[in-house]
Amino acid sequence: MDSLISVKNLKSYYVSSIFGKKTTVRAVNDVTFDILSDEIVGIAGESGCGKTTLLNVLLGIVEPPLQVLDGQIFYDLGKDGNVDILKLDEEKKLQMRWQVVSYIPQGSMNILNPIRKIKKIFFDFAKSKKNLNKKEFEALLDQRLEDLKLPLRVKNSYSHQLSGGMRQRVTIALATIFKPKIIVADEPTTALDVVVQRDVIDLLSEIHENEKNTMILVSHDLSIHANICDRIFIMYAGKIVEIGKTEAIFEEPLHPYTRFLINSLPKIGDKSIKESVPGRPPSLSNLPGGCSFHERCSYATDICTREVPDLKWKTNDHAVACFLQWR
Amino acid sequence: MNLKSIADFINHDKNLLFGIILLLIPLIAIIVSLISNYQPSTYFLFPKDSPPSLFHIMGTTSLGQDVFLTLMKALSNSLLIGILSALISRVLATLIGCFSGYKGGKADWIISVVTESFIVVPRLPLLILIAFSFKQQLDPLSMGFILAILDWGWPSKRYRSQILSLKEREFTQTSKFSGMGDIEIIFKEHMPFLIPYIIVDIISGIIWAIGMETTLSILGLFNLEIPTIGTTLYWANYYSAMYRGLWWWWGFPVIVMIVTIFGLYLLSVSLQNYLDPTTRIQRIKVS
Amino acid sequence: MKGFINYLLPRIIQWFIVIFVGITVAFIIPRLSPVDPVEAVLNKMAGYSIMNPQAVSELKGTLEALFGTNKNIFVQYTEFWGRLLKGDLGPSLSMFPVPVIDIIKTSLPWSVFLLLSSTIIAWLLGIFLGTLIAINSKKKWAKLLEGLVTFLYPIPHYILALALLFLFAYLFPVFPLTGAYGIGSIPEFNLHFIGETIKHSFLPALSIVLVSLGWTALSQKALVSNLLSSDFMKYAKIGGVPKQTRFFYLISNSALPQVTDLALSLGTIFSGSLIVEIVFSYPGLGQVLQSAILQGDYNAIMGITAFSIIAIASAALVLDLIYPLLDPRIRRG
Repeated sequence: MDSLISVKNLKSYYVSSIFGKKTTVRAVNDVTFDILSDEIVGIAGESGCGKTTLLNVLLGIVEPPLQVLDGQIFYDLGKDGNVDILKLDEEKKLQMRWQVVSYIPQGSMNILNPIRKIKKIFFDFAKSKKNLNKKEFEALLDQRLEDLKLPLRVKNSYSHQLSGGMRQRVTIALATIFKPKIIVADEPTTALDVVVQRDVIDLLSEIHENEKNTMILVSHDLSIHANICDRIFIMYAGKIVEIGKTEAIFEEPLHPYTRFLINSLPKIGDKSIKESVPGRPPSLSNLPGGCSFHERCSYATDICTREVPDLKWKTNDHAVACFLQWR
Repeated sequence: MNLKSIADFINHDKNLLFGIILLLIPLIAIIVSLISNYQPSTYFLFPKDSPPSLFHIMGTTSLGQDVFLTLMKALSNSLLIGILSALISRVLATLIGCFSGYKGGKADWIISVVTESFIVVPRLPLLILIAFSFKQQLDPLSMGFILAILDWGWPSKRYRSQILSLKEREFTQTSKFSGMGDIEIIFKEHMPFLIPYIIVDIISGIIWAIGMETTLSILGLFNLEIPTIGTTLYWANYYSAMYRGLWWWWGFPVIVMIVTIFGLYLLSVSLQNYLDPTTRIQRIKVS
Repeated sequence: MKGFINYLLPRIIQWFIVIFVGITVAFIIPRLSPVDPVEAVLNKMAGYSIMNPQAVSELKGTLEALFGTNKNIFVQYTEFWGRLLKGDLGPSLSMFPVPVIDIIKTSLPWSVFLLLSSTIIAWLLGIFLGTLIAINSKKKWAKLLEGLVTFLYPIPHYILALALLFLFAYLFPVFPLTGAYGIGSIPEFNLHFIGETIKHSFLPALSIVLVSLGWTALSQKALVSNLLSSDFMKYAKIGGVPKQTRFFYLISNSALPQVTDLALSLGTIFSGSLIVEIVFSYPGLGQVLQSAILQGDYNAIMGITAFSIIAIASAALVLDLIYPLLDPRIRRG
């Protein structure tokens, strides 16, 4: 398995100036990682830790007040070689979307134009891409709907006529119509009821099995990650603090924050009292010095308040950013 | 909200700055008309039809009136009518809109349809009809009242939709469960949200009312002895001021009116920005 | 289909109620005035001409029968509705016995022409400008445009019409001062006449357009700004939906509330056009209304008011009926 996306030292902040005062939100604060082909990666973290911003930048969606201050994001485009998408112009980025990398957004409820037929919406998304004629594309669409077990009559419906579950499937169908190599999903199960959640996870799993693509799932819900991901990245205050295989993360969490997250998950038969992490996550515009977690960490030492720990690989596939590990 | 923050805000918001400058003129008008003993209804006090000069900075009319002093009184009266109309109509609109929105159900539907009638029906012909019937008895108070009756529709509809959305919010449910009566909820919980909105809306009401009163008066449908912007223009028209080259008689009222309306409008725009909750939080953070 | 009927029925009931409330208000309020309309009219006419006593008493009799001032108010009301439903608005007092409805009929085509063309232009232009401003909201020229539109919006129709008249008919005589066609021209359906009509209607139309487009443009800007930050628009942009298609999304989604808005603004636009017609001496309803006021023709004023209430309410209903054709959410229930 080789590296499909290679992120190096990515720094992306929101810089704005309101009434003359400048604020900088360090949403992605010096992040480096690789995403391999044919794997499902989960990015876990609390709300406001920067994961949605990371997703956006990964897709090349950088709009003011968001800026990329430093770093590169290399996509392995096969015969087109390795390309830093941050340096691509808008035109090329648009070409890449949907064909190389696709996006399943949070809240599928409202991402379909309410007054446009589903079929036409699909056509709209395909217009600027490959030069397919209408008949070929419609055949492709039919096939896709079948794959996702959607009735063909969906084509001529409007989004308000579909149930929540169906809408989610249509969204997934829309995002994966060109069978992209990379699929990015932002909170795909949030705000859905449990039955539909199961449905979505199974669907994504199936697509991964059949098409051998790479999926990046962002969620604050660790149980989702446990269900479907091969590897998990733990994100905190704009930084990646731990990377590991799913089993390793759950059985041997190395970072104190990860430990708290895992311990707070309810387990069947476990009657112990659950502890949540004390305190609150820091404001991304006003980070404490040193390790961003030190104020809430029960193992914090002197060095933790002064220096920022790097993400270092303890084994081949388990990395952690904590001074605790290297003593 | 102390003086320094007001000064800060004026510096930042050009709308407010400009608006206040423009509104100095009506302010002067009010002060002058309160101080001055001049009675515009005393005709032929001054030489007629003379262009602006040192003694009469805005000239005189064909009836021997001083345009400047008459105009100051006229502007004050027009403003008075405007404010009366705006206040009465907004009070009506608040009562009707809040009640209708809060109650819901059948009562709401009936009230909404009636409100809709007052919005769809073309107001000018109706106003003309009413003013025509009462022509000589009209004074600023009654004119304000008549205008108010036809201007409560749109605001009522808007306030109702505000109440509708407030009703859905959690704090309403909480208040209800803690035993607050309906009227109490409307006044104590919902009104604080609504009041800034209403204040901005009142200014729109003033602008509309001034415009309407002017239109009616130009058509001669008001007590023509009372100086307002509209009646001044009526008399100017009557004596063919435009064709006889007496530009000061109709020009200055028009300019003064535009300045006043524009000043009020800028004030409402900046108030709206000030009261908008999203920008408010940012401002508080900064100061 | 059921959804359609569900939509239609309340609106037709609404149409009835609007007309009912409007006409009732128009009926009641003048009758609250202590002024006796019959006396007032007679006094006014006495000022204009010398009529023989017999004609005067005949007139008085007719007028009293008409106004029913000798009967109680409910009878008057019912009789009024009776006449109204037959399309009888009574005779004009200053042009006795010409029926008011005939006077309206002669001037109506001009008003409709002016009103229809300027409303449609203002609406379309407003939507177009509002969308442009919202899309390019950060650019300087967009801000300037927005400022211009904001400037026009609060100005009362009369003042703007007067200003345009002064500037372009008096100061720089580009356009003709009055009327709908040249003095001495005979209305015919040929190119020359049409050209004259357009030349004469230009300034009045411009006045109406300039004031009306302010509201449409500003509300459109707000609508489009909201749409631009909506989920489906953002997703379409990410997904690479072409610019033209996204523009179409914006317009089609914002057109719906704009149609409703138009239905509600018809009254205001109509009032504005009346004023403009008066300023430019355009031979439409406004002109008729003004001479009715000058000559104290109470009946004509009442007739025009009743007529415009019914006309505007009906126009609003028509717009309401078009709405489901555009919004699939209502069509299919």
